Amino acid sequence: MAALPRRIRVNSFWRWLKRHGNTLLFTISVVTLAVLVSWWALFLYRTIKQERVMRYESMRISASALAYALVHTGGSAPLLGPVATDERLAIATRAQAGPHTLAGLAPLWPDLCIVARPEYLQQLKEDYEAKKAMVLGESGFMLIAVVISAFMLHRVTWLERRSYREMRQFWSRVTHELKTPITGIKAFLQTLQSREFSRAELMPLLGLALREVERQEMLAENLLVGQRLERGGPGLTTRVFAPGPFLREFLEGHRIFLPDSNIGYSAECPDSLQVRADPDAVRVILENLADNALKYGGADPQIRWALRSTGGKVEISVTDSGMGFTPGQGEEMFEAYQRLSEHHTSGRHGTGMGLYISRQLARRMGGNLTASSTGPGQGATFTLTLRVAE
Amino acid sequence: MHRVVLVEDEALISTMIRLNLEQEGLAVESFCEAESMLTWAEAQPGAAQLFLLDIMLPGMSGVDALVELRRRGIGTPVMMLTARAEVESKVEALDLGADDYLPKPFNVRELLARVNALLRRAGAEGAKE
Repeated sequence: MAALPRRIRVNSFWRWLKRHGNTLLFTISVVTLAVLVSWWALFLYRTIKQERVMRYESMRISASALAYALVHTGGSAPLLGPVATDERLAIATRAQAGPHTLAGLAPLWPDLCIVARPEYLQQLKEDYEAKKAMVLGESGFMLIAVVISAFMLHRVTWLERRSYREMRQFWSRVTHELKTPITGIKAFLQTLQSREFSRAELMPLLGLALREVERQEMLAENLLVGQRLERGGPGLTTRVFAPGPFLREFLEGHRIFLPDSNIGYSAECPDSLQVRADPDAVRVILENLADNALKYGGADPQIRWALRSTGGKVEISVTDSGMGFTPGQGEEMFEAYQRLSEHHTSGRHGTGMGLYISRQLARRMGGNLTASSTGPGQGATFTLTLRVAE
Repeated sequence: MHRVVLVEDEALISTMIRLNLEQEGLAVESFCEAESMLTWAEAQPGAAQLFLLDIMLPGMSGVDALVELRRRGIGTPVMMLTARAEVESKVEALDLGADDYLPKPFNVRELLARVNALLRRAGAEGAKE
């Protein structure tokens, strides 16, 4: 393969630096900080070691000076035991001295010598051990603090970056969702300006255009509700109504989008049964579920709506014949700004807000929204649960 | 008669483009997704003089379809249609072998003018060869 031109290589490097610059800078800072802490710990350790050696040397010098004074001033043999003028030294016989002899008193008293007092040696050792423990403890604590801070900072940055990426994808999807219906409607209106249509030709086109307007309306509704939910949630106005007639009226309004043969409806509870919920919120949820079933229902979607009551609850479920999902993805799709993997949803319109909003609204009314599928290609069922009015 | 292949999954947009191209005297072959278009293009080599590809398609994207067309040695002009108006997206498509790129929402007259320009150029290049 031919080598890339230098300009392209330089550009690639700058692009790489732009993308990974912050991570690189962060890693360099953390490593530098860790090296500095280690260096500081090593420096302190060497200092306390040197201090111990110096204190020992100072004691040896004092012992030599004392030996010189005793030997050269003459007089009687010094008394065995601690030296009164120096808290560190003692006079001992050669036999008692062992390895701690600091200076001999030859030639006047060859069997005597000056030694370090055992309690002073013990004190030296304890001081050294205490300082060593302090250095090790402090540097260990600092290293752990650096590592934890780096981890926390990295995690915060990662979460921030993920959230930024999700928001970018979300707004890119919203832009796409806004532009696509406008493109269709604009092209429709421009075509109407330039050519004549018979009523028979016009009606299906009007149906398609109306569907695009509905999409825009639903997008606007979802964005508004989503924003209100993020600010603490819309105040829902619940009232008592019968879900059966409500659902049938909703489906009647959606007949233009699919032939009757593609939509089924069954009710296992009487029309007199009533729920307590916010009808506007229920309509938003149903709009999202209907749109979802159309979007992912396959080329010739078979959509089945069902209404049933179970133990103080009413369930409205919609089952499609479409692409379904793996059982593990049943919760993933209800997260804000999330859609299933790009492979799963590739090319299908949607903002990733619809199901999140729908579940939040359902839960605020004391109900719930769940999804189930036996697997990819097996279709999916979304079930809205509402409270029965008492 | 020139034949234009249109790959667009949005029913209203697809219908409107088809109606307008037909009014211009062009034959239109419409597809909702890229895979069936590729099968058609391979079965009928040279039958189309222009491809109009939407980028966001279910399954294979328009960009992947473009790459696949070029990989199969189909050099017919391709115009990309998409709601993605970022410069990177345009540059990527043009670098991969697209001949034109029209962001949505477009003006139908502009679309027709661009289609005619691409067909004229393709015709002139065909005559030269």
